[in-house]
Amino acid sequence: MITHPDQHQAASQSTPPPPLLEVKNLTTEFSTYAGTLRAVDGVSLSLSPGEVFGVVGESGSGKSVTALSIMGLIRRPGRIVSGSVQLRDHGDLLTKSHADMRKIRGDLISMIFQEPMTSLNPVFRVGWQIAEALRLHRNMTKPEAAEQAVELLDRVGIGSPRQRAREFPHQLSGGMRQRVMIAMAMACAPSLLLADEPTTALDVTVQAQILDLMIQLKDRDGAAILLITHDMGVIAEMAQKVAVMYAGVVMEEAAVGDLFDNPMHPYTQGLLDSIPHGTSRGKALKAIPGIVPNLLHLPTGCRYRDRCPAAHAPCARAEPPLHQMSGTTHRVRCWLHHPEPPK
Amino acid sequence: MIDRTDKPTAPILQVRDLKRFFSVSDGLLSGTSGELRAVDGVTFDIKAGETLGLVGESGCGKSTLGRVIARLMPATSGEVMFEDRDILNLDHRTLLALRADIQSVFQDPFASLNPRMTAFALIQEPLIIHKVGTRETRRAKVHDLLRTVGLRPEFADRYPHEFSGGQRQRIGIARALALEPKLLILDEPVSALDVSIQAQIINLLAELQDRLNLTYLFISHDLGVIQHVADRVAVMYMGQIVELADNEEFYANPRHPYSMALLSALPLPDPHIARDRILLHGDLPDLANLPDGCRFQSRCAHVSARCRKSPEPPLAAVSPGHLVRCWNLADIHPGADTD
Amino acid sequence: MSDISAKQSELAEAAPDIPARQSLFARLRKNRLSLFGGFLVLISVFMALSAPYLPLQDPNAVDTSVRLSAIGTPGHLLGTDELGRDIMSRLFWGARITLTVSLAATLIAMITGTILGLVSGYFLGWTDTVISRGVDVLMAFPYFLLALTVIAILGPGLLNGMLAIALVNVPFFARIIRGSTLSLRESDFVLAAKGMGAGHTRILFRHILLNSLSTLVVATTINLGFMITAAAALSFLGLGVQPPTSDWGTMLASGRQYLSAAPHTSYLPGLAIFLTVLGFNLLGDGLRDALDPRMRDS
Repeated sequence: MITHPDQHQAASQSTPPPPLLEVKNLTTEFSTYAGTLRAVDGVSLSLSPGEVFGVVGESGSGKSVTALSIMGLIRRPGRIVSGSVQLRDHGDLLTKSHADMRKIRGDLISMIFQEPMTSLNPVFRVGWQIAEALRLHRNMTKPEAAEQAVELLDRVGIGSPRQRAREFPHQLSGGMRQRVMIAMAMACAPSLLLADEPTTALDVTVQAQILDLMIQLKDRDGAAILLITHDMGVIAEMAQKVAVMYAGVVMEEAAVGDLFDNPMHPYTQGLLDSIPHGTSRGKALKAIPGIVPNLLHLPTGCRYRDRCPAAHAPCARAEPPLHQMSGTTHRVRCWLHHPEPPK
Repeated sequence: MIDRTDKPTAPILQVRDLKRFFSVSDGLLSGTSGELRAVDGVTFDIKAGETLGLVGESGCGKSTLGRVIARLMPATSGEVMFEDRDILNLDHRTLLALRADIQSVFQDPFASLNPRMTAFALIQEPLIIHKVGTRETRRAKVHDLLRTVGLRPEFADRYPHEFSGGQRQRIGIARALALEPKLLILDEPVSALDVSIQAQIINLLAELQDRLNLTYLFISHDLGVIQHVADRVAVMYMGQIVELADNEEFYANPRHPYSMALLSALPLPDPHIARDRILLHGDLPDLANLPDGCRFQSRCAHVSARCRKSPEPPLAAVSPGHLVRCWNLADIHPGADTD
Repeated sequence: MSDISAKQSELAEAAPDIPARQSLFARLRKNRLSLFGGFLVLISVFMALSAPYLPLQDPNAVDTSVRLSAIGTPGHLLGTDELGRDIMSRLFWGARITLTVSLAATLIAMITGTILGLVSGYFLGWTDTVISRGVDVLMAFPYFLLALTVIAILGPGLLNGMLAIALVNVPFFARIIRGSTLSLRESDFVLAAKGMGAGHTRILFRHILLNSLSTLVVATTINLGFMITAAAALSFLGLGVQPPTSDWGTMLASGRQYLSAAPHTSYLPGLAIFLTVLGFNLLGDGLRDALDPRMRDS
């Protein structure tokens, strides 16, 4: 049995260190046959070293596109329209050349994807794939890199790593593949790890192992993690700060305790109420009405308006800004909590 | 609003020692073949009007079990009684009649709807196959069903890809209801949906059960969903049921070490709960080449010498209605009384 | 009771309207090349259909006084062939035969191949073994050699030539349909149909064939191109259409002897074959893209 000390307190103990990553007003668009849609619409986030920042949202909320934009992995028909992504000591990533970004990716920033099978190359041995990252970024010789790959596999909890390093991805179970992905992501001890639904494809018992491993590695290397998930349970266990995304914008952002104790945005409240839990048995769940919106046909004003139980006149007039509640780090995009809603 | 006290207790479905093996070959050259025991001796009842939650991880055999009961796949051996019919031995005509009584809802609402058929054609299809009604009465019935699942009849002429995931699942449910079945096999009906949509479908299923007096076999990997919907819970591991109990009893006192690990691994949406997670180690055994004794031995924290020897532990009652498949309950739960 | 439905309706319907479907034609129109292909196909179809209604000369009227006259000769806009027959008229009437033979052969191959592919891919087991091995045997022979063998057995002629090229194209359709049947038979909606009690016929035609239609349309269009070449080749060798009726292939064959003196007697039918085949291939490519679900809507 492994016990977790209350990790959620970790970030608030000392004075906050300068941010490692600062995303400002990021906007990413995709052109489709039916028109141009804004997958990410003015998102700002800030991550400190050693912090787990959770981004939670449903499909189409823009959470994955945010991560890909930070990594510089947006390809046609997508494009980053505006914004900046400042990485500490390295400046704005959006202005970097492809060659510079290739050096940064896998070295300073790594990413873990949802489906490890499609992110690993099926025709190469897993040890070779990990070693490749080391040879690219650390100028290691082949034998050095191979040795280091075995050590990394051992560190992510893969039994008989020397033998496993010689196996191909299809010979490993889903949980082991995700461990290999983490070993690859951790190979160069990146200062920032972007994890996009890292445990969604896994069973709960394996999910527990992988989440545990991510915390261990973060605590040891002091990396910051941007954790993207749809699962409020995973957020509650892992994150210190949370941003709730909906249809491309951040609706609410707060420390994890604040968000769960005092969800201010009707969407966050709706999401939390939708989760079946022990005491909801025999009662109807409080479902959010309607469907996840089509980004090409957003309502005017607040984009949550047509599903919101608290919608009132100002919501149709203008889109609310992300308003910082006084004296807290809690930010909400809702006219209910804004001092001056439009008349 | 949902009254669960006055439900009749007669079993509508009795499953006895059901087995479903798949043959596997070891490789291209060896040619030797074995049996993969996807469902290996499963016994349980479902009472009329209740929801039995069947929970387990991928590959545990829960979907195969559901498909064998729905006669989508033949059984290797065993007995399944639905009301008074032995459903594994039916001729063509009585099987067709049984199909009207047992219907399935599938996980992926896109894959389970023929993309070339309109919502109307999809929901009407079972009525046509079973020669129910005339053209006009069928039309009225389909429109009724659409309203029942919360879709406007004006949507009837649209194709599946023109609906959202939740709406597609509503069409799948309407289709399953068309023949007025008694038992619905719900195979991960909400797993592919967004959280907010998941709640809508769960509510819809609860309302329909109440209104139409349906019995559900609710298959899911999500212990949170099962806790909300199920009257009783069965946990499957490697083709067998390892624990079966009433909902409250199961979530309050899980007895099998695997159930305990599953429950402890479930992330709860509350950051203030600092929990002891039971992390399972070791690998899953090969279903085609099982070890002697208990199937959970390689991952169990409480394993003893007895677990590694045949026979494997039986599914035995620890209290009325609470069955557990484990030799070491007295050691794992020293305070608990076992009878 | 009605409360519940009303509430559920509200829940599901607060959705914004779904954008209208784009028609197949609208999607096809975006592809310039396939539009051009469709245009070429339309021209040859027009030629075939309009031949009896246009004031054309008798395509078989021999007039040795105007042998091998050049393009632009008064009375013979596209010149005449070695027997003084009007080339334009023969091109129009030839289109009828070339297109009918290829279309009929394609239809025969498509229907036979589709049924074989559906049955072998769906039932598997010994049915599949027998059909698939049969198809393999057909494919083991060089394409044209097989057609020649069939004609050698049946004897030359329009109908036999058509049957021959139909037969050699059966494996093409059988393979494609067997492949899509193999994957579709495992799909959830086929499982759902079984669960309703649907019989084999219903599953095969309503579910599997319906979902293979786009594949089939594309395959047929591309195959039509092959068929035109094959029909022309048979006629060129004198094994297809028998004189005096002639299609583009026989025109090409008879013009060949006067290649230096009157090249237009062979390049005009050659051009007609080339453009029609090109048209079908471009149209087939465009259809494949337009029918690809990934290209649909957004």
